[in-house]
Amino acid sequence: MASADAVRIADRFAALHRRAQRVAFCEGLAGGLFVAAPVTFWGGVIPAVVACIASVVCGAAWMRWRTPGRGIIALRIEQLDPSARNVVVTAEELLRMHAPTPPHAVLEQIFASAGQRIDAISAARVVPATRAVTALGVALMMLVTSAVWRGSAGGAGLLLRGADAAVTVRVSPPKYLKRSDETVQNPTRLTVMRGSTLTVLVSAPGDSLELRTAAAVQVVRRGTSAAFTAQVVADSDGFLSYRTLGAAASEQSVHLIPVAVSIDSAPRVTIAAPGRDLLLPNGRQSIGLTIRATDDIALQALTLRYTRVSGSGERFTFTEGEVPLVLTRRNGREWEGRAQWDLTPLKLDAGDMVVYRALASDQRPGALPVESDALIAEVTSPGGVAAAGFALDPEQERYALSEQMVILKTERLLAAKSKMASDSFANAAAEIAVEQRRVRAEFVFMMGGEMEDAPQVDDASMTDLNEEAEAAGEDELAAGRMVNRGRVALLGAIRNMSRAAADLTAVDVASALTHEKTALKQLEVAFSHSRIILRALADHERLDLTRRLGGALSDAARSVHSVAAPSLPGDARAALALLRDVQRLSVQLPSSSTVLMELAERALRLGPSQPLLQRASQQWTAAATAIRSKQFAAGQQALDEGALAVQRLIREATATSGGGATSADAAIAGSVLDARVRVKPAGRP
Amino acid sequence: MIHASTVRRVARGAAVGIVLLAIVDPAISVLRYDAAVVAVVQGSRTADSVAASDVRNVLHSVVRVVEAPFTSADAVVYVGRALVPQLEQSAAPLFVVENAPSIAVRAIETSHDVLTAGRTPVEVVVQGLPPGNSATALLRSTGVATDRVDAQGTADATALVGLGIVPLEPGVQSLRVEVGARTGEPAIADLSTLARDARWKALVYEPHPGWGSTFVRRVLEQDARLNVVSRTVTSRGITRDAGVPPARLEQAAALAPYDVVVLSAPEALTAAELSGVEHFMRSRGGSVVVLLEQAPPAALDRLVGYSGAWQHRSLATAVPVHLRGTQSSTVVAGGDFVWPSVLPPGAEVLAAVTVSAQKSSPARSIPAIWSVPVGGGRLFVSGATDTWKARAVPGTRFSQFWQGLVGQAASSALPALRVTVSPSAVRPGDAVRVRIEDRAVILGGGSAARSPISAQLVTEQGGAGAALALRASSRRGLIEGDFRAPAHTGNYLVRVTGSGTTDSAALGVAPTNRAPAGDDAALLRRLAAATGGETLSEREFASLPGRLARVMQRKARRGETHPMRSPWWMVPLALLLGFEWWSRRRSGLA
Repeated sequence: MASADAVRIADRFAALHRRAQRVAFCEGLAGGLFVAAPVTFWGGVIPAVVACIASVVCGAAWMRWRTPGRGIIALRIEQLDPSARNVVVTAEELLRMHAPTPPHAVLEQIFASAGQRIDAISAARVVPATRAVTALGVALMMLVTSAVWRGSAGGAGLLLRGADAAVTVRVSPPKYLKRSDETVQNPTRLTVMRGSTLTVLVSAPGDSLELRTAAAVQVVRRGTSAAFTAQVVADSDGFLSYRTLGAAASEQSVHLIPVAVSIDSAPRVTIAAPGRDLLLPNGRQSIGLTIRATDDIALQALTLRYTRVSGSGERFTFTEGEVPLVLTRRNGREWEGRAQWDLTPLKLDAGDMVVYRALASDQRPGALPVESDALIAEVTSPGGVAAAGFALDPEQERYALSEQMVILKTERLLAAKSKMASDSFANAAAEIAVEQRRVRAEFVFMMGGEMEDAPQVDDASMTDLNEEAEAAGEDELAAGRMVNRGRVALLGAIRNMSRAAADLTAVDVASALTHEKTALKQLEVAFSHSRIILRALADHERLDLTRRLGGALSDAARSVHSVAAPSLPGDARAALALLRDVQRLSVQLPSSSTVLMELAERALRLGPSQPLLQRASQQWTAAATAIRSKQFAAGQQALDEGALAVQRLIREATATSGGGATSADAAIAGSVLDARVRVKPAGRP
Repeated sequence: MIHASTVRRVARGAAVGIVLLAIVDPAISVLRYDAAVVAVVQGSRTADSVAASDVRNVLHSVVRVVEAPFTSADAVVYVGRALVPQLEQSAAPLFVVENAPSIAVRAIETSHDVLTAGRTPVEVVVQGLPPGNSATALLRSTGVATDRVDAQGTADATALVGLGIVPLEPGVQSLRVEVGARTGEPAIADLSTLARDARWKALVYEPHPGWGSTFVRRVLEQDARLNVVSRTVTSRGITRDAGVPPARLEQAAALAPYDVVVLSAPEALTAAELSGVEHFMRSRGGSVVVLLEQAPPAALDRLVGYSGAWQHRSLATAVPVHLRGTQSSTVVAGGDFVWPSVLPPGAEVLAAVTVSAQKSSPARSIPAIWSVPVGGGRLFVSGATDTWKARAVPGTRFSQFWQGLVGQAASSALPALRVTVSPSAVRPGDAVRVRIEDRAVILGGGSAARSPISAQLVTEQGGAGAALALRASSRRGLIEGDFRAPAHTGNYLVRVTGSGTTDSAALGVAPTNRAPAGDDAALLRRLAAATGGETLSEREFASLPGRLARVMQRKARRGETHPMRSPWWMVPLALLLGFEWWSRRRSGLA
C-alpha cells in the first residue's frame, strides 16, 4: 500500500513531466514558426498555412522526442539540491521499477525525505520554461510581422488576397434607372450604363494610388481603410488604369480595365394601324388605331396627339388635341396602345384633315419624347390638293410622277376593276386622284399660280377675253403673253387634270382617263420645241440688272488654287506611332510587360469606342500578363494579335495600290506588242 | 621432339629480329584505296536538318562525311526538297533523300515603290497546299505582325497569297512571311524592301468640266500618296488650276515629271494634245488614265491601236464594279458603260461587270476598265461613266476604288533609273545580283546616249560605301552586277547614280535570313539521275552505304608504309622475351 508521501511524490513527478512536455512542445513550435515566418512573407496564404501546420507537427514531434523522463527529472532535482544525496532518485526508482522493496519503515523514510527535497524546489527550477516561451514569443512576432508586411497594415484578412493588387469596383447606375449597385471583384472589363458612378477600391501596398481615365488623372492617398478609394463617372467609352506609388509599391502594378459605356437609347414608336394616310369621304368616320412602342430599358409614357387642319390658301387654322389610348404593357419595355378614334367631334369638312402622330418617352431625365411618323386622315374634296409640309411622301416620289404615269395607273386600275371589291376600287381611284392633283400642282406652281379667269381652252379663240380679267391683266395682254399658244395649251392641260381628278374622286374612272389623255396631249403641245412658255415674275424674283453683265470680259481669267498636300488621317498616324513602339518591344520582349500595359492604355485612349483598338488593348494586356508569368510564346502571340488589329485599322484609312511596278522587261514587251498592233490594229478585218 | 633450348633460341631470335627490324625500319610500297568522301548537304527546313543528321550517323561508319558542299567529294547526299545553289559545286553522283513534302514559300515579292503613305501589296506564292487544305500566312515587318491571310489549297497545290504592308517609317523594311499549317514547322521566307517618304506626281486634265472627273479629282486630292496638279478648262481660254500644271499638254517635256496623267473627255482634246499624251507614254513610260463619258474619238482609237466600234449600255439598276488586285470590298456601282467591241491585243481587263440578258443579247461580261501598253507606258481606260452617281451608296467605296486605280497606274510608270537586288534578304557572304534599268536607253531604242552609271553598297545609316562592279547586259537598257553580301549583319542600300538621278534598293543581311525555296523534288530527281545517283525516301536512307558503294569510284594510290613503326610490336617482343626468360628459369638457367 503506497504511503501518502509516495503518492505525493508520484503526483509531483507527473506534474513535472507534463511541464517538461509543454516546454518541449513550445521549443519545437518555436522552431517551426521561425521557418514559417519567411515562408509567409514570400509564399503567400497557402504556404503560410502549411508552414503553421508543419510547425505544430514539429512541436509535437519535438515534445515526444525531447521530453525528459522522470529519471532525468529526478537527476535534475538532485543537481539542484546536492544535499539530497540520491534520495530523490531512489524514490523515483522505487516508484517506477517496482524493485524488491526495502522494509516499510525505510520506504517511508525515503519517501518522506524525497518529498521534502522535492517540495523545497520549484517546478520552474526543475523544468525551466523561460527560453522556450521566449523563443515561441519571438517566433510568433516574426510570423505576424511577415503577415503584415505581406498584405498591408490592418489585419490578417490581407493574407487571403494573394500577391497581386486586388480591386473591387462598385458600379452605381444612374438613379433614374432604379437599379441596385453591382460590385465586381478584379474585373477584366466593365460594361456600364452612361452616367454610372464607379467606386474603385484597390488593395495594394503603396503610399498612394494613381488612377487614370481617358479624361483625367487622380492621385489618391490611403485613408482610414486598408484600401485606396476613388470615384469616376462613366460618360463615354474609356478605361481605368491604376497603379500604386511609393516605396512599397510593386514594380509591375499597372492594371488596365477597359470600360464600355452603354447608352440608354431613345424609344421607338410606330403607328401599326392604319399605317398609312387615309382619304375619307366625310368627317363622320372612325379610325382604328394601334400603336406599338419599345425601349431598351423601360418606357414611361405613350400618347397620341393630333393636329386638326382646316382652311386653304393663306387661311389655315390648326387645332391640337390628344387621343386617349388603351395601353397594354407587355413588360416595361414593350407597350401597345389602341383606340377607336371617332372623328365626328372634330367636325371635319371637305378639305380638312387631321395629322396624328404617336409620342413615346422613356425614363431618361430631360429627354424629349420620340415621335412616330405622322399620318394624315383627309376628308377629300374635288379639286383639293393634298397639303404639303405634314410629313407626306418623300420628295423623290413627286419627281417620279408624271401625267403619263397617272394615265398608266388609271389604265391598270380599269383593267383590274373586275377583280377588285368596290371599296378597294374607290380607294385606289382616290389615291390616283391625289397623284393627279400633285401633278397638276406642279404645273400650277410652274405657272406662278393658276389664272382662274383665263379663257376656257376648249371653245376659246385667241380673241375671247374675260373683260374683268382683261382689265386686270392689261399690261400682260399688251405684252402679248396671253396669246402665247404654249401657255394656252398648258392651261388647258391643267383644266383637264382638274376634271380628271374630280372624276376619279367620283369613281368615274373611264371619264377620268379621257381627261387625262387630253391633258397629256396638251402638255405635249405646250412643251414642244417651238413653244416658249413665259410667266410673270413676282417682284422678289425680278432680276437685279445692276448685278448682271456688269463685269469686264478681260477679268474672266484662269483661277489658281493651291492644293494642300494630303497626309494620312490623324488616327492612322497615331496608330502607326503605336506600332513603332511595338516594334521596339519586339526585340526586348521578356522585359516589356510594363511598356505593354502603357501601350494598351494608349490604344484605348486613342479610340475607346473603336472595336479594333479595344481588341488591341485587350491583347496587349494579355501579353503583359503572359510575360509576367514567363510565358513568352503566349505573350508574343498576343502581341501579334494586337498589332494585327491596329494594322487593320490603318488599312481602312490608307489607299492600296493594286499591282506591281512595271519592270523593264514588261516595258519592252509592251513596246513590241504595241509595235505589232500599229501594223494591224484590232477591229480591222 | 623439340628441345627446350631450341624453343628458347627461336624465341630469342625472333625478339632480336623484331628489334633489328625496328632499327632498320623498312618502308614497303603498297596500293591503297582512300576512304570515300561523301558530302552531306541539307535544305533549309528543320525537317531537313533532322533527316541529314540521321544520314550522317548512318554514313559515319563507312565513309568520311563532310557536312558541307565539297567539290572533291566522291558523292553528294542532299536531304531536302528545294534546289540549292551549293549542288552546283560538285559533279559527283547526287543522292537525294526526299523527305515528306510540306508547305514551302516559292516566291515573295512586292512593288519597287513602297510608299509610307499607303499600303503596298506583298504577293507570296505558296507550294505544297493541296485542295481542301488551308494554311495561315503571317507577314511581319521588322518583327511586327503586319498582315495575316488564310491561304486555301488549289488543284495544283500552289496558292497565291495577297498580303500588304503599311510601312511604319521610311527606310529598309525587313519582311518575313511565315506560312504554317495547323501543325508542323512553318515555311519562312524573308524579303527586304525600301520604304520611301515620297509621292507620285499626278496631273488631272479636264478639257471641260464633268461630274465624273470632278469627283475623281477630289478623291485623288485626298490621297496621301499623290501630289495632284490639275487643270479644268471651264470655258474658252478660262481654266481653273490647282498647283502649277503644264501650260500645254502637247509639250512632252512638261509632262515628263509626272507619273500619271488623268484625262477626261478625250473627245475634247486636240490632235496635238493627244500626241503629247502619246509621247508621254512612249518616251517617258508614263501611265495615262482616261475617264470616258461617251464613245471616244478616233484619235484615241489610234492611240490604243483600235479601229472598231464602241458599244454603250445603260442599265436600269447599278451593278457593282470591283477592281482586280485590290481588296474585295473595293467596289463602286455603275449603270452606264462604254467599251470597245473587241479589246485591243495585249489589253488587260481590270474590272468587268456582268450584265443580265436582254431581248436582243444574252448575259455577258463587259470590260468596264481595262489597260493596254502604249510603247513603254500604259493606258488605262475607264468606260464606267457614272460611278460618281452611286458614290454614297452603302457598300461602295468610291474613294478607295479610284485611288487604287490611279495608284496602280502611277506605280506602273517607269522611273528614270531603277535598281533591284536579288535576293534582297541574304546571309553573310551569299551571292547577290544587282540589276539596274535605265529608262532613257530602254525607251530610246538604244539610240539614247548612256550616261555613266555607278553603284555603291552603303549601310542604311549612310556613309562611304563599297563601289560595285557593273557590266552591261545583253538586254537593252539593263546593267547588272554581282557581289557578295557583307559579313556583318545589318541593313544596307545599293545606291545607284546615273542619268541625272539616283535610286536605291534595300539589302538585308542576317544569318537567320531565309530565301524562298519551293518544292523542286521533280527537278532534283532528274538531277540525281543525270549524275548517276539515285533518289531515296526517308525510310530508305539506311541503304545509302550500299548504294553509294555501287557508284562511287574509289581512287587507288601507291604509297609507302613503315610496318615496324607500330607500337603493337612491343607485345610480341615482350611475349617472346618473357617466354624465353620463363623457359630458362624453368630449366634452372636463370
